[in-house]
Amino acid sequence: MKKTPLLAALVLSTAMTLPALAQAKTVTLTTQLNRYGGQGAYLAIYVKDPAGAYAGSLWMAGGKSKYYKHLTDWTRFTGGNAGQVNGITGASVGSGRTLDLSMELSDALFDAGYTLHIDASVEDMRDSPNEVAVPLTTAGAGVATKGRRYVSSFRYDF
Amino acid sequence: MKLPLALSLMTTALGTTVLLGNNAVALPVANPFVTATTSQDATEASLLHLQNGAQVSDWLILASDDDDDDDDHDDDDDAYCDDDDHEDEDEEEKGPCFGATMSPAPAGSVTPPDNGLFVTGTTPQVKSN
Repeated sequence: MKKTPLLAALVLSTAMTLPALAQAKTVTLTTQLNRYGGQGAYLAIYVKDPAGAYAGSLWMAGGKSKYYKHLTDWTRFTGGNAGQVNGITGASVGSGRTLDLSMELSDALFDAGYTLHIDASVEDMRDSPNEVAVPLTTAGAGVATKGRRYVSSFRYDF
Repeated sequence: MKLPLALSLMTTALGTTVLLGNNAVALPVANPFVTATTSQDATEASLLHLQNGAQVSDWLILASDDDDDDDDHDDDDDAYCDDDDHEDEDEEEKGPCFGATMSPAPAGSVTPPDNGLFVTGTTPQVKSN
């Protein structure tokens, strides 16, 4: 008799926890750069919603905000607000190197019209806004995409 | 005969004259017939007044040489919005401070922005770079 309330509580808590786990997935973003022969590349990785509006940033490779103006699309969407990448900033990525990122992303981003974008810039070389643009879908996982100038390959995996 | 002698004395006096800074000094001169004083009307220049006896012979303008005013151009000072490091022909924005803010906090030091993309309480991890 006393076990019934405890069992009910256990079932209820489990029912409340499992949906939250099912609403997210661990996503790995792999960005491989060409051997372009210049300084480390700054990369802004961000998401746009189905309407094409800026939804948020996933990562900023490159720590000096004075260079962010050369990530022109990202700057246009965010006003150059470095607060958009507080806590999600790391080092710039060298020529020929690969950036591997792992993050817990909401399931709601996939198969819903959201797109992932990468702006790239290298000191003393041309800026490359929208270097990569890929839709976030379950079918798109594992598919490699070539960038416009600096990115030889980008893909996301679950 | 006296004129060439005077000229040679003046030449000797000028040859022993030293360039002055902004401070007025009395020059040590070997020849008692020539004294030199300075007057300062401008910040950067001093006027050397050469006097030969009772007759003013010439004014020599000296440029001051301030050795302490070396300009060190720091082109990579992160404390300021500096536009010198990243010129690009496609750049349309004018002014060195466009979009300049304090640099963001690195990953792991603060919680990520609450933009609805990340699962609450999680932080992206760099596996390799």
